[in-house]
Amino acid sequence: MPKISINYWDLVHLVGRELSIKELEDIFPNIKCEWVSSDGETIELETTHERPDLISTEGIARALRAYLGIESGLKQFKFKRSGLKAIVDKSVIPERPHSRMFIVKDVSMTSALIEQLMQMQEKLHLIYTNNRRDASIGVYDLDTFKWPITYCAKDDYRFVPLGETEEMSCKEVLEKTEKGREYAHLIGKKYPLIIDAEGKVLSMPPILNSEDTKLTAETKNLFVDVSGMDEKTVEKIATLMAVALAERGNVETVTMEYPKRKIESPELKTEVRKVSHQYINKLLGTSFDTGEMVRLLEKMGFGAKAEGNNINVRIPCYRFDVLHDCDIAEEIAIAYGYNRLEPILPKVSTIGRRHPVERLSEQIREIMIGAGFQEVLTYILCSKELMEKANFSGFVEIINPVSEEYNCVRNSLIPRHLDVLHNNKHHPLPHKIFEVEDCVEVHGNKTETVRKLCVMMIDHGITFTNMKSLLQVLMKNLGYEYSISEIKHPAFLEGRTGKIKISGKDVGIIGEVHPEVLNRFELKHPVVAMEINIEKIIERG
Amino acid sequence: MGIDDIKQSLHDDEKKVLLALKGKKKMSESEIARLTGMPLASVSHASLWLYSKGLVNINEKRLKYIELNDEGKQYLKKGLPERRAINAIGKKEILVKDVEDAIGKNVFKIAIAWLMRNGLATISNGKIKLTDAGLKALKSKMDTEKAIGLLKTRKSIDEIPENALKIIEKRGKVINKTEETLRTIELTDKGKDIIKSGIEIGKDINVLTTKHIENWKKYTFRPYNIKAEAPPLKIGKGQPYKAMLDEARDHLTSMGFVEVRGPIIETEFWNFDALFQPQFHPARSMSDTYYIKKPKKGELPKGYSDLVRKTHENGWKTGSTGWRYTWDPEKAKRLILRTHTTAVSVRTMVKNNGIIPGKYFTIARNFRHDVIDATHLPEFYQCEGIVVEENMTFKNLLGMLKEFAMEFAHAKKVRFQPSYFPYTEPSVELFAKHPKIGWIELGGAGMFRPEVRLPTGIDCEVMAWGLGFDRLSMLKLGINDIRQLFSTDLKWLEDTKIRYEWV
Repeated sequence: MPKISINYWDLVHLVGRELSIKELEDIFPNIKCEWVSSDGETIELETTHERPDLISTEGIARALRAYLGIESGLKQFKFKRSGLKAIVDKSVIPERPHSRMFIVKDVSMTSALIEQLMQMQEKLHLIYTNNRRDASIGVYDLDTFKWPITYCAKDDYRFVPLGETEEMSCKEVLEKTEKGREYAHLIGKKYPLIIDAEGKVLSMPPILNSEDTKLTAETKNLFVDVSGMDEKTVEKIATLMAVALAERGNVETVTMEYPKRKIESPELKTEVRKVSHQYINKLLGTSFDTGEMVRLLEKMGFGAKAEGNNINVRIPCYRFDVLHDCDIAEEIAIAYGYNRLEPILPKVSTIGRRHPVERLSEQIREIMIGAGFQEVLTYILCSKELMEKANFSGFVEIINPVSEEYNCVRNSLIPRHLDVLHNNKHHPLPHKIFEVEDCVEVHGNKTETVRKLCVMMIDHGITFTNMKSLLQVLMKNLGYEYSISEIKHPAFLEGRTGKIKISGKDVGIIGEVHPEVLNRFELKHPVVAMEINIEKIIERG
Repeated sequence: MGIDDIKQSLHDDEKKVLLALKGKKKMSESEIARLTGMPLASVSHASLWLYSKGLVNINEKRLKYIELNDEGKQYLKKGLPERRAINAIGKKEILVKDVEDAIGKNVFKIAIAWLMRNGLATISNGKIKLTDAGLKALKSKMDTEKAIGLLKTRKSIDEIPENALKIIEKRGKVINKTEETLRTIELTDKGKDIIKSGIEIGKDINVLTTKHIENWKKYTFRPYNIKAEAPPLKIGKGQPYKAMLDEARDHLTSMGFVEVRGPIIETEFWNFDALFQPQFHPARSMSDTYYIKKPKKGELPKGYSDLVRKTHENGWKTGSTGWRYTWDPEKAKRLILRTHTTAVSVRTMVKNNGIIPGKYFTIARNFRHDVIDATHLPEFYQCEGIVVEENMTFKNLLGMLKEFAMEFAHAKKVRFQPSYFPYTEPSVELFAKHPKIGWIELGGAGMFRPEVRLPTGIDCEVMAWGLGFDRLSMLKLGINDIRQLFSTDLKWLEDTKIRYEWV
């Protein structure tokens, strides 16, 4: 979930009403912001993935104004035409074809605004743009260049990139700057550039802006561009930026001249959905009338109008998470307050039943505990090193592990249990441990989750016979006939290792652990082990 | 306690000790042991019990003892090396080699050293003969032999004359010195009174035997000191976290839920696509999900996967707009480690789509692509379930969740908070009030989106919920570090209590 931080005073200023920190903490969950912490000045929040409109102070302020009734219902954004023109040159179409631009006038630059702009860009890039491929954002000082501007692609060009003092070629930008190296893979044959009427570079999307057009404390008017490979994402991000900055100044549109069409950017799209009042009450278990629903939707910043038994819902242009009527139902439930809804225990009468594998696991646990064994619980993830130390192979490996300690999925509990004995060397003998848990086996090109019982004993003078006694009593109590035949396994001592069969099917292994393995685990006393695939036992019955 | 009560409480061993002391001023424990034929340890125990009842006083004294070590005992048995040499030489002058052959090379070496040092023999031209002192030694015991002879048994240092002690110590490593506490026992006046009142041995029974049980009327059964600490006992025991999870399974079964199970390694299809999580969702990346090396891909369920594709692309017949992108079956086939057990729930819906009503649950492990620390495990248990029934509402879901909070967390107060999951709408998070800690999050829930349930063939509402027991279990076990839930420290496992109190 996106984590953001906002300034309390900035927020209160944008909401336009006094609100204590405590009040905010109570309200935030209802506008889908999870409270993390606050020092009285900065508030740390977590928002949810489906609500990119909430990753800015501006967006949160807008949601609060609606929720508190200061400005409820659908917010109308009326952007003036600036009359400014941007040409999208055909050279850029094969490289990075989509672009939306707009300007914001009369902005009062504050440190809070700069921080918000940076945070918004960073979070939108990180979460919603496929790492800048689908879309990327640039913000500039409007008064540092001449219109009309051109969005084009060139074989090379020279400019001073942001944060540098020397002019560089586009090629050099990719090689010498940090951002250049990070995003070089997004550049195709030519370099996308935004150039002003006099040939001055504004930026090289999606890599870097130019030093000349950067924002300063004196900046009064902003220019914003969003470009990318995915038109829908470009449109969405431009919308989010425009409605957020509308809280800070006057947004005006830019005419974008594509080779074959003209767009007045940004285009804000309000979708309309006709929702059945009955459907919502049926889903929520409520009996709201249409008027109540309209009022509740307005509280969430939606436009709503009752039409007979339906409600005509106008979805705010910055809400991309409304796909179905159920999404409208949730807005109504949240606006009403989840905690005001009466919880009603459903009267569904069904007969409960344990899963056969789980039931058998529990029965085995009972026998094992009765036999005086200590149950352990270990991770399914394992290290390759540990598995191999115990002479095991054939397990699933992970492509992208977080640590070397957990880079594969065990196919046997035995290696980890040897590790448990190793870690308990200081503890007086004997140790008798067991676990009934899941492993993953690979059969051909298929993986299979299997429940296994592993039993291990370590003590002076312990032998195969001790484990055999346990196997006998276990099988007797579970009611299974089994047979044992000799088998070789690299983890076990030859001649003291058996394959356990039930109804002709191999279900497990029993034996004395090989001294070579014991030495690797620094175990000074004999260890006997047994592992049974209990899923195979069930298949038989 | 009165005299009779005390008498009642006396063990036969105590009585024997008292009787041994009768008429004597004081005795050491070993004297009592010799006199009574009791093992010394029993005398010590009995004396301590008597002391605790005020019948005797115990005086302790540190004593030093010496005794022959193995080498010394050999000398005592076979004679000192020089003695054996002297006897072999006799009154004649013989070849040195003959002496060596007679008594063995190793003994001979030591013997020669002592013969020379004490001037008992002389050697010239490879021949050896005894001196006058040597000839004298042939007839009578040497001082060293006399001294060692005093140590046939272990002796207190006080018992050995000073010059003998010096000789022995000079001889080198033939003795061990030990220190011991000598306890002497002395009757108190109360002890004397008890003896005067008469003590009978043999009528009181300690450990019951068949004979005693058959003729129980003939005996009196000595009461035990039931307050005494007994020796420790190792038992077989369940792992506490697993025991709690099993308890939860039983709770859910009793609430009418059927337990289901699903694979740990899943296709992205069941983990994400079937749950209407678009393929461009940020969670579906190398930084959030574990991908496996081999095999790389699994299979897609025929028919159903096509409906899922349509739903993603244009909403199919669900009334949804869908995500409006081109769905890629190859991405859906990729194998990953399950990130949530909701994958099991949707599998269950496909498998049992004709069965309404249905209530299903699973408690199983999921994998988190995250760094491990005191609050994050690489894998965690989730308790996940669904309720499929006509006319279920969001209020019913809240009712169910409240019940869970009361059942699993014994919560008197619950709170619901809006939340987001790509597969449920409305979505909710459940919090329970802990009397000390405050609000704790128990899990998330929601009504499955039509985009999730309709392709599975379910045309009525489905309530879905997922609870986490990690935090609850930590509170119950009184631990602060989540890694402790998977602790394999056998000492901790053996000592941890299995009954918990919520508060």
